[in-house]
Amino acid sequence: MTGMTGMTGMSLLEERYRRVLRLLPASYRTAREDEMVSAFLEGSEGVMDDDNPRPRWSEIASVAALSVRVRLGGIGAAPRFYAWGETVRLVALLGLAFQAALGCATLGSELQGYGLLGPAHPDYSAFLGDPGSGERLWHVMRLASDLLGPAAFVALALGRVRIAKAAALLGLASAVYDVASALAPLDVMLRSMAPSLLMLLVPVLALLAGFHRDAPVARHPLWAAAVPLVAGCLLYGMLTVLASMSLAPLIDVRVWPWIWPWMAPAGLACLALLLASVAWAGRARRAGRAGRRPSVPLALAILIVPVLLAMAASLNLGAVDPFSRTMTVVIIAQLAALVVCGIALIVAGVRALPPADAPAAGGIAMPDPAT
Amino acid sequence: MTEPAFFVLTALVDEPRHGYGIAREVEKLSDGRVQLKIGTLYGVLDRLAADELVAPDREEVQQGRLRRYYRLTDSGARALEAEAVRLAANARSASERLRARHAGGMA
Repeated sequence: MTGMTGMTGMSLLEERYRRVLRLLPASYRTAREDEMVSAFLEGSEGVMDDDNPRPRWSEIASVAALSVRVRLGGIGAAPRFYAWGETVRLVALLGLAFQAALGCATLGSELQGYGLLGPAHPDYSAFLGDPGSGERLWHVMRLASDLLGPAAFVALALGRVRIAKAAALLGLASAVYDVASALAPLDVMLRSMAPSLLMLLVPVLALLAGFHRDAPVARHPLWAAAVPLVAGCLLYGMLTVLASMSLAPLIDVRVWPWIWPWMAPAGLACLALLLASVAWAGRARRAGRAGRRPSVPLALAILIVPVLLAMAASLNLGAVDPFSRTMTVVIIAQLAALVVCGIALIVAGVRALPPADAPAAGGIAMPDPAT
Repeated sequence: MTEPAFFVLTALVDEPRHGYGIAREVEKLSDGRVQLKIGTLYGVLDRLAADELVAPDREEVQQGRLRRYYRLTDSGARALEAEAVRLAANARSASERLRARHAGGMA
């Protein structure tokens, strides 16, 4: 028997387990809380209040995992939870697509530096190490880590979720290592590099949370999986041309401050998100109210958040020279455009969400006793 | 089909059971290897109910506690049978290969 406590007539263990169940959405608790409490307590017979009992961590973890699966619904989930699930899965897909394109562009520039795409860059040759040395091996591994982003996206697009998760986690670990090993004071490091890390962290977390075992797995055609890789190659070409033009002995200082803020990863993400938002607005206008899916605007709005933080961190409000001041103005304009887009996307997405009380397609409903 | 889902369906073959009854039966069926946490159990039940492999049967209140019983549906029985046949075929293939290995003196 479990001991009884307080005014509620509940045992301490029951009170604590019900507190754990608050992790679950209210609608789910309405349907399942008493049943789950009953099942849990039946497996905990003989526990007394005097023992100060608590649900085990494994039980709490199972409820937390259930909460994620319910809130980011998959097959058979209530329409509103399914819409949030689709939103988070889209955040993972779009975010990893951007990281894949960026990974290809980075790989291209590093291969170029190592002399594999044209003459080797003198700065790279100095620290590359001799062939067969540990230093050279380390650089080869660094090159391989650039492929983790593209690998994660391609695996996800082709429906290989486990491979995608493994590649994405390795890529994240590699990026965290880069930030942690940067020889810079902590405040400078957090200000300059950590916000960019957030742009990777958000889609990776979305991948881990959204693609649970109940989530539907879409298998896209091979050409769709290759789109960000091709975009990454084009991006590499474009950035190479722009970089060589900007490093020319004589450059127009009135023009380049307007371009450079768009060439950094956060600037590129900003451009991609603004273009995607405009494309979504055009499509939503043609589709009409009934044809709008909430997942697209909400996913774009979620992706805007880490980009905003990354760009805000790069702001230099104390700039005095006209060059830096122009760049600051451009970044402020980018931030403003993202905020406007983000608000419009959130409003449109929330309006298109199914009502909270819409029933699940395959939910648990007790049979009618009369039938 | 995941292993917990397989055992939950198997636990419901002979009679409808409630949450704790299913968890206890799964533990027995798997010789104590699979111990379903309550959150995991209800996640599995949600999925099986969405796929119409199990359905709620009845509710009882015992000592002030709600017990909701679940039963195996016909499509659940068919899905379980197909999975059992698949697993048996896999086990047979492995056993045959192992027998051949032992007969060849490679062990």
